[in-house]
Amino acid sequence: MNPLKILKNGIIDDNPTFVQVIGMCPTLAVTTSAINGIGMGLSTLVVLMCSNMVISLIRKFIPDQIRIPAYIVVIASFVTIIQMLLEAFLPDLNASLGLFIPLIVVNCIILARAEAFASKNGVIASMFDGIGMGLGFTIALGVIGIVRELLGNGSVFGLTILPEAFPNTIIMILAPGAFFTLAFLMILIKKIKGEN
Amino acid sequence: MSKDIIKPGIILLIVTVIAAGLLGAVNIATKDTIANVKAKAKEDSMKKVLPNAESFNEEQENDNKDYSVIKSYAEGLDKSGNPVGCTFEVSTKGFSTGLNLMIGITKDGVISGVDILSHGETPGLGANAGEKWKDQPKWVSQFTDKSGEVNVIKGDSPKDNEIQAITGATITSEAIAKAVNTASDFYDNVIKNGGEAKSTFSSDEKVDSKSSATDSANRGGNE
Repeated sequence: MNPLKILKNGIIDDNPTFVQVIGMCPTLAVTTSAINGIGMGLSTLVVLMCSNMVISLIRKFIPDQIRIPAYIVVIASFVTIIQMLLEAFLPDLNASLGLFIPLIVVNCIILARAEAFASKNGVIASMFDGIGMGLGFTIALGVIGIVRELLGNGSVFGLTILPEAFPNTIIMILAPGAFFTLAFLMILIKKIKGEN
Repeated sequence: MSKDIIKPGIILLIVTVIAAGLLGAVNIATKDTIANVKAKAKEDSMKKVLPNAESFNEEQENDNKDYSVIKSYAEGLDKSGNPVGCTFEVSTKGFSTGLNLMIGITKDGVISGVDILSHGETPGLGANAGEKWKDQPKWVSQFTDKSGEVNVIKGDSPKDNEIQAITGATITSEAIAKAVNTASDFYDNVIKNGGEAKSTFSSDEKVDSKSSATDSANRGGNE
């Protein structure tokens, strides 16, 4: 398969958030600000890329009956190792991203891609699938984060944009705001694509 | 049939053994570095909340049950080794659990700084305690140079010993103020008294050990 096509598939055609609607837990929970959304997206991208590659490598040795537990072991070990390495060698990055790392283990995008793509394709293709899906997830979370931060806090990436007089809608950075934003963005995307 | 069970079982065993081995190896390789990084972060935080201190005495665990939110404290010393104040590591509960603070108080009872070590507060609301606040570098900077009991108010124009609550995060604001007040009391009543608590101490603070979100929320009414 063409790597560019795999990337485009992850970002647009099969966008994990807006099209597949998977990985909802972190999507709803961490997108209270633009930077949080993008941080979570990029952390997921790295883990997704690595876990896809490893699972693609070992796919021939893993019998069908035990593939799910085996994938979970691989993913959880990966996430834990990355967390320990971050904590030890990149404490600054860990301070800003550390919060998201344990959330990645329970992110079903990782398992979904392992099952749907990496267990059936080669290492390079799986790597690109990980990058594409990761980017799609990052963009989706970034957009949701920007909308919620702008309406809920009057700022984007921590910079105040809306004038003081504009009232901040606190509900947008609470949990319901995540559902509203996601719903409206999905409607918007369907409209643009011309589906009804 | 039994072959279908044994072979996958053995493969799964191999996968888990390799994973466990890798985790163990990485843990051994990073354990000491992580401990050093954490110790350094804590020391930086202690210096930040008690800027007058040149060095610190060894940290002491707090075993006083009346002040169980206070995990440990360390006395800060100036260049010539005279005590200038104390830092307190406080582990309490805001809107969610795991609100860990470092609080510095000078020997005159003035709050010299409050730093958030870690927290689980809602991003965009309670988490704003560690963010820029109006003309202050952080919300918790409001505590600096206050003394005595600090109260949280909603709305503008705080008076001398008043702290303006974070919009939409009153529980977090009050939990932090309560932690600071507890540290002040602990300094006055326990440390300056040579480790013995005054018997006149109000029972209200004792509830603190089991503090729940409602306790922190109701605090203003109790006092």
